[in-house]
Amino acid sequence: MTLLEIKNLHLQFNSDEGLALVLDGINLKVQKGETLGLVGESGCGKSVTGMSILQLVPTPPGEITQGEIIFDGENLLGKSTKEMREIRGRKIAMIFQDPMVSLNPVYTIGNQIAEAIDLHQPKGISSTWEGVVDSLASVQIADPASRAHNYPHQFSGGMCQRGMIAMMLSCRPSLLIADEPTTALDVTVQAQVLKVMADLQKELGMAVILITHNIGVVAETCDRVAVMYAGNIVETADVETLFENPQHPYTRGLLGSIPRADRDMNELTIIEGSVPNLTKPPQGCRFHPRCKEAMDICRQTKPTDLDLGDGHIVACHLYG
Amino acid sequence: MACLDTKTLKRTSVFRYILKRLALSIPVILGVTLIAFLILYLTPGDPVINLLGARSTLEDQAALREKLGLDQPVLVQYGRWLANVVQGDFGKSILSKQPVMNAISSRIPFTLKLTLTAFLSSIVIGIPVGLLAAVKQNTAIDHISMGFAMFFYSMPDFWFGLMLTLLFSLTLHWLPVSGAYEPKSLVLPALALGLPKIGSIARLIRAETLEVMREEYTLTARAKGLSEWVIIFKHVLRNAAIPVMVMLFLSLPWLISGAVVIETIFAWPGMGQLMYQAILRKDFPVIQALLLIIAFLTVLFNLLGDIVSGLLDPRIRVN
Repeated sequence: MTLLEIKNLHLQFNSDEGLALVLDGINLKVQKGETLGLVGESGCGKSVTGMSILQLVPTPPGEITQGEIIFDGENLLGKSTKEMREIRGRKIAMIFQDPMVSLNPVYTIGNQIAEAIDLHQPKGISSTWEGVVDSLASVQIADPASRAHNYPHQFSGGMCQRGMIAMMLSCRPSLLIADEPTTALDVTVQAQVLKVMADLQKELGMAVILITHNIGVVAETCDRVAVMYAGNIVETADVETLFENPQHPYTRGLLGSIPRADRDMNELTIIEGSVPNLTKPPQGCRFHPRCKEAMDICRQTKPTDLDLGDGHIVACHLYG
Repeated sequence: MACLDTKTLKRTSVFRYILKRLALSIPVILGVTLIAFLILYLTPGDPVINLLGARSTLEDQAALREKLGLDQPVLVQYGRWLANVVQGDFGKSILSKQPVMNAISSRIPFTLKLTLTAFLSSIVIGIPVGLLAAVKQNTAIDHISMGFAMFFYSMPDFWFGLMLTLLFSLTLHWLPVSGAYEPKSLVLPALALGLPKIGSIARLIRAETLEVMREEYTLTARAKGLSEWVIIFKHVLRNAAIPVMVMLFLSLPWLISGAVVIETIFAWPGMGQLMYQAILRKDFPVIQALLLIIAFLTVLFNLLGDIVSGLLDPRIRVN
């Protein structure tokens, strides 16, 4: 069952250099309970996609000009500010890249979790403080009752991120948007945080959009993957299909550029060129200047989404 | 029960922090007294000859020197002087021959009244104005309030005091020109002293607020579903206020020294005016006492600033 569907979302930023079309008609579906990986290089619009679902993109300079974000059957873009506040934290939660700066340094962790619980009053909690301690225990913070009195600077990075997860999941949302949740953490702590997230996801039956540029994390945790390039989603597939049978030249380049233990690889491939300036994006397919297989049509017409079967969708003229 | 624990925990850590700051201010105060003492000691001329006249006999000079304790080593003299100062005895004014403390004690309340009015108004007016300007960034409210803030901040206080007198006393006849005969008299000197401070506080709090509003934890607060008011007053303001509070308390002694000029212009009978007169007439014991009092107030307000920022920011308490 579809929990979230983004249809033809266009978002632009007014910058000094001109208008940047940061999201150029995004289509994305998230099913209940699944983990969707959103991958791509820096600046391709992954975080903006996540933030636009909760309408956290600052306006100005950001502006959604077209499209729909359907969550639980309702278009979020038609909601008032007050209605959006009811959804934030209660139905859709978000965690960010750097846990050390994502928690307010002047309030205790417990205070910040209690704030979310008091605000949304989730069912099945007898008192706010009990909810705080339970949620810290659920992310495997040892001695949660006394740790709740700690300030963020008394927590390590991994603990801060688990604290963030505890806070954001204390109200049992049905969707978690995790924006590079492990990028700022070292590898052993990454695994621990991902495990905590996966356990809670199973327990709450929650869907997760995992925004990352770490393909390894995607392979380990995601059910489906959407690959973004310069404000477009170029390919979506379930995780096995994407890794075994990538279709879009960008996806192939991306996967080819990562060393893999399960394959005999003599050389890593590189994608020539660099990401386009979004104030002056290339005409047609935004990837064509870097694509070895580009054809005339790629320089003129933007490719549409093509369903190759089993939910494997690719936006490329090679298959049209 | 759990909440009670937090409070006790917090209280002990705040208490320990305050004790530590207090202990640290003792050497500073001692250092200041030493400097104030040495100013008098290093002043050219022999006080005994000054008192008895150049034609006095050597025996008389020796007797007086012994009587005043001036034959003792410097450290002993300093110790005796310090013991007197601690008891509020700063010696006698060279000019009036009256105890210095008599002249000063009546003036302290006036200076405190003036500087605290300026100080409090800079908090009560400066912080809301700066906050509003930040929340309404790049609107007319922001431009107008920051224009005024810049103007007040840039004006020299003595010129500002004169212009205020010209407008409100001499032209509009709303307020007295000078003196401290009625409550209304406080308004002009407090404005002259306080408006530049209001301007600087408003500008600083605006800048800090804008910075904190860009912090990731503000985004977290928004993602939690908190209302904009809770975000601004609970999450943003407290963080933005930390550097502003430190600056405010550090600037209090600066306000007191600014009062030297303002009190002279408005004939406000505070310590500043006395300081001005004492400097003009080289009345060293009075200068020395005022110096000590101002230095003591500086240390006191620094301490208060440290305590307030420690209360606001748990990270400061730890170190």
